[in-house]
Amino acid sequence: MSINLEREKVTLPLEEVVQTKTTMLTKVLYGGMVVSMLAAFYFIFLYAEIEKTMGVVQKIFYMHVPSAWVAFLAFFVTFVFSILFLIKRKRIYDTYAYVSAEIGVVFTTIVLTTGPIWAKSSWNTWWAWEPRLTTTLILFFLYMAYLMVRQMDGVWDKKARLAAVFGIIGFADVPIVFFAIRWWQSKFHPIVFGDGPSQQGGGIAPSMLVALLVAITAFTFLYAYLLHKGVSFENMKIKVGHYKEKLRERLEH
Amino acid sequence: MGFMYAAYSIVWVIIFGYMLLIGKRHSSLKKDIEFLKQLDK
Repeated sequence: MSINLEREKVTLPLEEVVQTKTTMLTKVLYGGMVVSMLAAFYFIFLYAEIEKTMGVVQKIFYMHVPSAWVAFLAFFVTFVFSILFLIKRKRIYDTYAYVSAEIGVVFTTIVLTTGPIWAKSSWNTWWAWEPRLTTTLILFFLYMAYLMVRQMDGVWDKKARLAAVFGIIGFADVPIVFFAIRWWQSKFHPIVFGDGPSQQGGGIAPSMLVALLVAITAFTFLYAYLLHKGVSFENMKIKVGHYKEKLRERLEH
Repeated sequence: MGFMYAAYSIVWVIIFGYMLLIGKRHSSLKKDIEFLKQLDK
């Protein structure tokens, strides 16, 4: 049922496959990303006040939290498109799920590298096996496995189905990562918003909140830009693959 | 201060590294397309 899903659409001339023109959406996303990123740097370094206890090291927070947000968003998008793929079996949904998972892994890597730097400066240890850190590491490995499934040999739709199941199951870890410090005792990881069993949310100064929100906006634009670029590239790759197949058939006969 | 610089450097190395990877994939696909064009003539 799901085999050769888009084969009927492969009769494109090569010129049509090779789309080198920059679309309006690409320009908007790129512009939005550059402007919001510059604004984020202004708000982080010139507008937001310096935290009294930690000093300037606290500014890692403005890269760490938006990266975590983008990773969660990316895995959510993978989750949604994996479900859509399993229901409708359209390759475009699988492409969105794959590209989004890859971006999610990139941003989880950022979270897992900036986190220990923060930890060393404030907790005097690079790593602690506490709930938030452990569940984030599990999340990273889950989606690494997802990407490895994509690299396997075999028919794409079988890989896509298996990856979609991974994408759906893997997402179960996202709320666990988020609520880990609110559900379980955590001596290290601070709660900023809301309360946990062992600590109360410390809140955040208004200027810091503004800087954080601008940084989150900038990272969201970056995610949207990368997703858009990645999906158009993957589509082009698929079309070139089909074109190759057609060409081989033609040359053989 | 050093910790902050290290963190910011790592963030941008990872992001630009990923963008570079996408660019490399793109150029290898372009080479493929050029080859196909030659073959199709």
